[in-house]
Amino acid sequence: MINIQSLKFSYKPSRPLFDDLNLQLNPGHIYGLLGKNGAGKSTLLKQIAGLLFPTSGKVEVLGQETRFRAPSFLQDIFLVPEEFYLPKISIRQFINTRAGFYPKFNEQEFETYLKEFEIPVTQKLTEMSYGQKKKFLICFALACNTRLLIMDEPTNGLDIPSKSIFRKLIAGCLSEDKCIVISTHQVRDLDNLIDSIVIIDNHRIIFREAVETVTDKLSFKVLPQLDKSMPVIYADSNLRGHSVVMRNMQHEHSRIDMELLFNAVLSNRQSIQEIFN
Amino acid sequence: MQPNNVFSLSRMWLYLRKEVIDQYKVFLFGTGALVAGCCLFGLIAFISANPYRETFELADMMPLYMTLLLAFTALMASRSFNQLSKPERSIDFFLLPASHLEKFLAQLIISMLAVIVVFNLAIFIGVQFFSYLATHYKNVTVSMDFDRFFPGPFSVGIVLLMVAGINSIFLFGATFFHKFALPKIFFLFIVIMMGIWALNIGFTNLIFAGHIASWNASAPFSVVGVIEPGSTAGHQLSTGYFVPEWLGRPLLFIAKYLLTPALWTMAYFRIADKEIQ
Repeated sequence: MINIQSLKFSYKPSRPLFDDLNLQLNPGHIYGLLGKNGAGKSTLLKQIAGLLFPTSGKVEVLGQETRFRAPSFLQDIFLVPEEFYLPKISIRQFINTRAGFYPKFNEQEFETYLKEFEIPVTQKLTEMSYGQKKKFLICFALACNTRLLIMDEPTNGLDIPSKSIFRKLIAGCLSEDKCIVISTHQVRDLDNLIDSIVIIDNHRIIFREAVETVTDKLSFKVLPQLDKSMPVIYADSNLRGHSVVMRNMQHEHSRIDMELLFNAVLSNRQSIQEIFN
Repeated sequence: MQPNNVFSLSRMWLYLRKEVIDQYKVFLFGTGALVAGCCLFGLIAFISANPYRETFELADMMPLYMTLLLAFTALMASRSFNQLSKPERSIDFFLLPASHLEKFLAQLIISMLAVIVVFNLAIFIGVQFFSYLATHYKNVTVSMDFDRFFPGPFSVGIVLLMVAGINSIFLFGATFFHKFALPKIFFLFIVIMMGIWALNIGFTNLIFAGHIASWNASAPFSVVGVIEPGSTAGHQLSTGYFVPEWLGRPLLFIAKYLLTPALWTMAYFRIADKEIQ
């Protein structure tokens, strides 16, 4: 689905942002793209969407080079950006003017999604709050049924119930031929949603594993006390005790803690690499 | 079947429709203001009209008509890519599934054909308003001498070429400036023209050193004023040397028929090559 080969890119010639970056993402998965501020997540998403062009290397989506922004490519991808634009028109006018560009747009699905988020179809876009606008855009993006859906900080501005609905809708719309890439800082919002994790740091992909592989090889626990004999990779102390990431020696199953994993990968990269290689 | 990634009439129509509906308030307000302005002008013309004059000829309005037409064309063309002033609007513009050519042609249609139609309609209403006032309240005749409206060098064809020329200059400028585009492009245009004039003066003074009638006795691409041999300090004879016909005709052809499409083409490629940072 997404094929990035030897990507080189820089905003300024003296400061390369991506240097020989390679990444392949396949259909049928929901990828979580995690990284610190300025790690290059949004730039990578823009490269995938064809909004930025590689200095060298290749970025292909569905077999097409994204930099050409061909209509056949654009009608099969949808980007929900962090900051987005909606014209000052009604929902009905928005659908009438934009749905025609997406051959697989399904109006019934769109109305169902709106109902889930409790947004009346008759409401004007200008009368909506930021959160409502975001929910509206997510509904439209899902109803377009594009094979690639990219979301940059989709849960920003959503209230707590809406975040659960968001997770439910995203999980429900995934199919074998679709790929969803979600970039976020709010890692807890992606719990139980993503099935693959991509961590980007210092403009490099430093971790790319399926959630299943992660829980096979790592164990996430809360311990009352830390014991030096335990194979702890990363620990975070809180009021409940110590949240730890350890080698999964006993092959026991635990629920992934995305935030803990992210911190573990960033702070103890070598140990993590040894475990996964 | 391979989808058409370059041009599809139905897709361009969809895009044109989307652009008009997205900005219908701006367009309606603009059209209303233009009609109101023309009616106001008709009223002022009526109030300030010479009371002893028995007939008014429409052809007298030609210089004003031309000035307003070109100014309105410049204004609308300079707004063509104002959506690129903000990243979120740029993302919406570039990721909408239509080709760059379709998006560009749609802007060209709005900024040129629609402008010509709307402007002439507004002028027509203004003239009818003036005509009504003049015939009913001042007992004078307004001669609708359309046949004399585009006299001699200002044939309809030449007027259209001028409109296209102004459109191409401001449309090309709009690919550089997205905010306050009109004054910026106008200023840059004046600077470029002055630059050409200064360069021309430099060259002519260099080439005709000692023979030029005065330091600024030349016009770019057309004529140089040279002192005739035998002139004395008290009695100076000068002759204007025009470019020979074999050079003048191609230059005129370029100015009339090639410059405008060249600027449109460059504007198109500037849009196609734009990245969103």
